[in-house]
Amino acid sequence: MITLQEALSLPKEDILHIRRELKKKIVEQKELGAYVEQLRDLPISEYGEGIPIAIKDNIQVQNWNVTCGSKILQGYIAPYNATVIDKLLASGLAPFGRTNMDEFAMGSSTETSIYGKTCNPHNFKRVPGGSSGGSAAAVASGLAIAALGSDTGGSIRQPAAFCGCVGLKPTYGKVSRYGLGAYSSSLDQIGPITQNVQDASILYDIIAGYEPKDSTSLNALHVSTADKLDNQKKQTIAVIENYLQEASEPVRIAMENAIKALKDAGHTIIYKNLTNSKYDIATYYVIAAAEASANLSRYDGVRYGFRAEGANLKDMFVKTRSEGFGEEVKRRILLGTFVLSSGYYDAYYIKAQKARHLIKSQFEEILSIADVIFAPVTPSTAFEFGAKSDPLEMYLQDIYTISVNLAGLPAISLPIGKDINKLPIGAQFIGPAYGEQAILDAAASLEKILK
Amino acid sequence: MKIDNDLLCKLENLAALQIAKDKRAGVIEQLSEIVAFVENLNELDLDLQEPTFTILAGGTPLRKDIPSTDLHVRDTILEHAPKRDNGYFVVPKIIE
Repeated sequence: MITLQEALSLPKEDILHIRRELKKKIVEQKELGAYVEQLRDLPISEYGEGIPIAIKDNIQVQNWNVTCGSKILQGYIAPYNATVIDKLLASGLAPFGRTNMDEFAMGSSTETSIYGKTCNPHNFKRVPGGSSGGSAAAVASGLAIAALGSDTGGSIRQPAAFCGCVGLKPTYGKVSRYGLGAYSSSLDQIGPITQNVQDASILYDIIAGYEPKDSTSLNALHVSTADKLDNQKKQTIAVIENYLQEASEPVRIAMENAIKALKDAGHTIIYKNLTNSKYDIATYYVIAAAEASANLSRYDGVRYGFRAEGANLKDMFVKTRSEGFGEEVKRRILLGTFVLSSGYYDAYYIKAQKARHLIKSQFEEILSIADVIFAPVTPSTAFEFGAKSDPLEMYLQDIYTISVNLAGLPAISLPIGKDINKLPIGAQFIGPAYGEQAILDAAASLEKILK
Repeated sequence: MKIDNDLLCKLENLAALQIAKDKRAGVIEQLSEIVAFVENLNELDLDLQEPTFTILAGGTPLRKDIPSTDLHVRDTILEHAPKRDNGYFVVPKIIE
């Protein structure tokens, strides 16, 4: 597949040709299930005629049926464009196709989507990761030049790692969330999933920047990264030693090879530890569930989407939500309701907020002596469908990604090797707040060495 | 902390949700397991940490409360609403 960088230099006729070819391939390879349109036998959703970019099903595109992979949003038509979509259009890019996702981005395998499963392009018996599994599978299989996803606890980086592509989770506040279906508002960020680091940098530059409609948007001029991308820059890289030791053998070996390659290329490697990641998971599931329970209270069947008939108003609310939400979404709403409810609020929610401070300060400490942090993205390579049927076991998939969201930091996932089954292994660089350039440079350096 | 059926009923009521009869035992077990895992946080010494959290330095800014109406948004939402009449959303009767 042509890269985004290459596509940007092509004349309009060539882009139109690429769009036609893509449409054909998307229909031919519909068993992959990367796009909602593939799973539902629908014509690909389009808006404009620019360079096609696949869009996760939780980002608003005007007049598209944007559904967050949920039954409760069936029938909803987005009345406006998300800020990132307007930014794509302004740069000659165009939303093209809705990519499959875990319902309301709650999952790590894309298995909770109402539309059915998305396969991992490297092995159709395996999951693509999640929640942006459709976006990663589309890019990895050559069915998209690039895609947008969203990352609340690893939902861009983990599927990018499982599918063998590059995924960037920007610093909280760098990319407007206006028009992103809200899951956990203090953690959510939109970011690119691409074929290489250069493209991630280009697409990040296109979507980043201040925007008053998102009150958490950073009010500062965006400094472009793609034109300054430097794969020769030598940096001090902190390896998280305890993460490395906990990871499965293939991940650990690939990481050790990458660390050696980075050292040989002239980077300075230091070793650091972070607190046991079980505290990150515990903190995340309190905060994310609490925010989800508030955000998802808007789905009541009154104004948009699915409505179940009820004997009275309260009955209609309950039936709509009980029939419209899937199991995992209901579980998280109930958990969030619990941690916010009177009598439990201090013991769970306030405690998690305090733990969040601790997690953030640990990163700050390491990043005061290192330029970037190097860590695994996932404990193992892509698992088989149905392998993680216990919710807690699924939550533990996010042990290496979740703390980055809690601390609001930028991180980029890139492929560093494969296991014996030819399944991709990813690693991530984590940077200080607004340190996208440092992690992109580090990723570009590693990408070049490993080629 | 054990989640029991009484607590589940209370949470369902607060969240306007209902868990089906055949799923209740499973949900109680899963929620209890997750809450027990969350209790790992009790091992941390958090007394000196701030109880509120914001990612943005200085917190979120205040802005002027200026009304803004996009008629296109209003009309599109109404056009696709589950039930509507003459510019209103229709819901089941509230007062008999």
